[in-house]
Amino acid sequence: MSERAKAKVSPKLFRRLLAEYGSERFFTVVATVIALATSFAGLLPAFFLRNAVNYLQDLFSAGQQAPPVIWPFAAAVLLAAAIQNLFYYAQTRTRTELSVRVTNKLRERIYAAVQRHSLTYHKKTTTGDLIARSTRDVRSVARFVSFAVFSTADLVVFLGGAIIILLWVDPVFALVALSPVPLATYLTARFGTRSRPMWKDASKSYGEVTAALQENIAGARVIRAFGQDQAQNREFAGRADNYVSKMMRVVEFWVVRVVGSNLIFSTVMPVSLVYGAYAAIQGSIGIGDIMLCFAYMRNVQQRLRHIVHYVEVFQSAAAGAERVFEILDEEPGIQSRPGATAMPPSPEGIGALVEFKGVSFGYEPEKPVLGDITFTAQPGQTIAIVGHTGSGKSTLISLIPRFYDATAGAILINGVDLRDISVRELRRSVGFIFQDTFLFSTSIRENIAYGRPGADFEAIQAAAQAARGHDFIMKLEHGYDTAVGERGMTLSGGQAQRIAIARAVLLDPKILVMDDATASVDSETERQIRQTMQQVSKGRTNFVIAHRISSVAHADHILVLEDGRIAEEGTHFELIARGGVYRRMYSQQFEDGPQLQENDDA
Amino acid sequence: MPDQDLEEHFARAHPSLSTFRRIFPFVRPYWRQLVICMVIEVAFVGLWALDPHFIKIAVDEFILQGVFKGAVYVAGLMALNSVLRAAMSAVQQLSLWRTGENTLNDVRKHLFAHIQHLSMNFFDREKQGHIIARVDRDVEFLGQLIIEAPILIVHTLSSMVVVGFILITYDWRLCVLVAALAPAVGAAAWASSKWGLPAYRSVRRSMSRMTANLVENVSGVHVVQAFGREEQNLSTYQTLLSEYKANTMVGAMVRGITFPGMMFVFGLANAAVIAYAAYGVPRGYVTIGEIPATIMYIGMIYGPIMMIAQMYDQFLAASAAAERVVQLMDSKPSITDKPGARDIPTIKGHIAFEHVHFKYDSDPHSPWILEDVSFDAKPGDIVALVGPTGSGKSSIVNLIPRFYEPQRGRITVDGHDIYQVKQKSLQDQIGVVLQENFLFTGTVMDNLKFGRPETTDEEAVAAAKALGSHHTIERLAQGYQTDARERGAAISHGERQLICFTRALIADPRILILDEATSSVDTDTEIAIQRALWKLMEGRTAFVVAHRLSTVRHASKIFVIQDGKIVESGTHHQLLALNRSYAGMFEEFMGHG
Repeated sequence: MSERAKAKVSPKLFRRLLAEYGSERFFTVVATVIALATSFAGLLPAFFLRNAVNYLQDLFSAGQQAPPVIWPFAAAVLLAAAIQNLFYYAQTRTRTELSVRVTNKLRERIYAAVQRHSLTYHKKTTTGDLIARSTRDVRSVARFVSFAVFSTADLVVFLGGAIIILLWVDPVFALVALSPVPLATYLTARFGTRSRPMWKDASKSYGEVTAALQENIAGARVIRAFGQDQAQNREFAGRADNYVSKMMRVVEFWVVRVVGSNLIFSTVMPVSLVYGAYAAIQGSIGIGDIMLCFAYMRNVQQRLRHIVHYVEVFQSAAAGAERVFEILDEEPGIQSRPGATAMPPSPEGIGALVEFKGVSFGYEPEKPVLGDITFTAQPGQTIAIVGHTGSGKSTLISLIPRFYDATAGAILINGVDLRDISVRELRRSVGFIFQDTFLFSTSIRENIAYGRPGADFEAIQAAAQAARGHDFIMKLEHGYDTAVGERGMTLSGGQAQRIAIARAVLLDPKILVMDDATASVDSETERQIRQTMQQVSKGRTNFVIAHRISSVAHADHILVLEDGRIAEEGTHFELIARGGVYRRMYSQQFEDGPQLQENDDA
Repeated sequence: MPDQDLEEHFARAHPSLSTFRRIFPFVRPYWRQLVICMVIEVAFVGLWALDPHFIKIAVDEFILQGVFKGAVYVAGLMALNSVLRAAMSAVQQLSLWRTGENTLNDVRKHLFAHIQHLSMNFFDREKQGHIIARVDRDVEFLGQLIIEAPILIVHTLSSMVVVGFILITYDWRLCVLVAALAPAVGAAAWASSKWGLPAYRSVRRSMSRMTANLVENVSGVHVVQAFGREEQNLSTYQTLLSEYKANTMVGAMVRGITFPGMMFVFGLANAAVIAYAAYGVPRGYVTIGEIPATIMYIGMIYGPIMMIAQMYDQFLAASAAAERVVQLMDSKPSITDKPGARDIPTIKGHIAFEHVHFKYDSDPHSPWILEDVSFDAKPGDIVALVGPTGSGKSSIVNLIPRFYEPQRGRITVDGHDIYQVKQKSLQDQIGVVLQENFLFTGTVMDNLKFGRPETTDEEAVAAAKALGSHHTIERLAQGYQTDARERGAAISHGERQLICFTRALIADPRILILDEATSSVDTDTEIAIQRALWKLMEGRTAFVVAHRLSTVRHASKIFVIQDGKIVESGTHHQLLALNRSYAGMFEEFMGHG
């Protein structure tokens, strides 16, 4: 996040930012015209009041005793107020609409890009970061236009208009009255810039306060178990006090200077009163003109207050725009080739023939994760993949639906290179059961139908039945309509697993891939899921990753991975007989390890 | 932010006296400063209201009479007035900020210390985010209630009084005219908050729906791509976007109508003053100088009214926040020491459960989580608890350090009823290693010393060596100095577990409780963990909630828990010989099932 502060508004970035408004050219023009008209209309009410006061002053100074005709003047004041406020209304609408149009378009494009980007991209980024780009950064881009552009235009038009009107009233009067404006403006801007790092510092130390709190609550149990509440209190109080002292340091810096520059600005009143009185006595201006000057200057001062934020808005908009464009510009990693074919048919009518030919892969080119993987999965076979954490098991199976592309070698499905098949077709032919069984915040029914949104209820139930989930689903209060996911009911690991299986089964995939999903369930659930998988795997080509030997013993073919290479392969019995890595893993899981012997007599 | 949080954020409540009474003690240390600020505010308003009057004097007494020198004196007075006001405002601002920040800081510290005393069931019940919001956002809101609101009210009231007084001295009819339109400003402002707030809320709601949708599709992007749902999802998101746009436009319309509405009342008042002046000046009711003065005064009293009306809703929201803060302050720890409770002497480790019944809620109809659990663990025993998920294994071990209290039955440690001794003296001697393996911000070394901050680095390393975690820790990116919470999960599950074991060994508890992690670690790490585990349990009474049977085979006692009851107990071999649940589970684990 710290790089946000550094971004400069480069002309190129600025042009690209403006180009975003290109598609809304008409609306941009309309909004701009209305905005300028609104600023101009803001000058009117005070001007008509001035006319009225001058008119009354002239009549009464001339000694008129009867009430004069005032209604045209009063009506002009009212009309000016009405016009100003009508424009204000139009401006609010058009500006908001323009900003929503542009930001929504950006958000939509970010969303589409995020979905399109390869998993390699998602591995590098965090959810929080992407969210920040779609919310905060898009907002700061919008703020740049609504605030920096429109507010600057407003200030320029209003201040310019006020200067012209005052010059027209009396040039010397205008110059005298406006004399403190440049200095006050400069000082305001300068103090704003100088205090910014201090504000940042203060808000950073506030961040430390909340971080301490957050951690304290997340670790509540550990803190109690270790009796560390006093130490935590001291830590928190220290951070909280630090924040207050940082905050007061800024406030002390800031208050004095803001008050100071306001004071400079407030000299407008006495200064213009002195010259105004002189000119009025000479008869060159009226009381109304003095009043007009006061009114305009008050409005200018209000607008100037915003300029403190200008630099900040520009910078955060530039940083925001950069981060937004970064997402949009990222090349989608994996796409269908032009002329990509449909899924080729299996030679044996069921499942698919999957061949890995010398496949190598690394998330980063210099760090290979898989090297020279070659094997063949016959249609209908179940291939089990075992190995230590980090040996490349999950990576290997992610290549099948093309979550990543191999860096060398080729993967053939039914004799056709994977990359020649349409990505969409391919992925819909591969049922993938992920290790983390991600469910969406919607009903069970919609979760199962995730890959086939229009699927009829019978098909959904059949899939749930095949995954042995139907019975527990029916026992839930709302059955298939029970909301699950982050904001719904919490399912046990085994239950979520079955829904994930049903979701994959509903696609009726030719290839079924299951990452070790049984790691976090108890032995009984694991056994049930194993049985379920055996049932749903019929008639497909299956790939299964597992940590427990018991889960893979029945596979047609077992690949033992070590450091990204196939160390051994064969059936369970072949591998046991071989006495290699697999055999060792088997012993560790099924026989008493020597390390435990010493406790036998305990 | 989920919808519910947002609703809470905007919840409104009328400030209640009892809430104020609870908050007031935090303001009391600073009441002098606060009173001084109020006094300054009144004086400030008084000086501020002089400016238009100076104009009137300059016009009537000097300009219209052709006396230039007098006007210069008046301008001098105005300049002096500005300087005075600036000085006052600087003093007041500083004092207000200091008072506000200090008061809020005291509240934060108080809340934090209070949270340390709350029992575990508080943390089960409340979402983390909600507790944080109390101390963070709600306290911030409190500032509006105790600082901004009083100042704004003092400002508005004193402006009304001072300006009203001055206008009456000009002409009572003029005063009535200005006062008569004031309610119109208030009404427009009120309408703005009345319509504006729901509009604003629905904008926030649709924004949070968009964010939630995006969050979900980013975290589940692998599923999205695997199931080819990109287009469908985009069109859902497009619907949310247009909903957001529609809501935003409603908000813009409300703002676009009500704000100009208020401004129009200003125009109306100005026109009325002009019209009145045309009749009033010839009759001698008002002077010419009073016209610009009155026009300036209109801004002075309508402005604050507009502000109060606009901020009214914020104040209500702040009151609701204050109430929530007070609620947290008043939440009592459900487990407290009995009067006259003493420290438990150094624990030997004899633990007995006698007919313990327990559930997490107090609903008389809900089923027991633990029902009539009785057992006896001798010092040095290693007790393993096995059974299906949800059977009550974790609940048993949660009762030993008094994280919760059973509804019936008794638990004794070395013969002392644990409800008759001081909670802290008990917890200090019990080490808990949890499934979640929570590490705190800081280095691995800091984490090792967590339970015993006075430990030296050498002692910590020695402990790690004794436990067999030294090499694992050394292999981390920066060894013992590795940042424990750095993103990117530089520390794996298994490593984390070893660090937590070492942390527990350094704390050197008399009773050890382990909630075994179920996550998948490879066999090598598993072996290292097992080895460390046995080392850690040596010489202590230990309870292990076991999910894998390989851990429990060597326990001195195994309890099989089912539906909150101990259904079998004995050693591994005894239970196998019994050939019931345990034997079945073991066989299944071995993969012969």
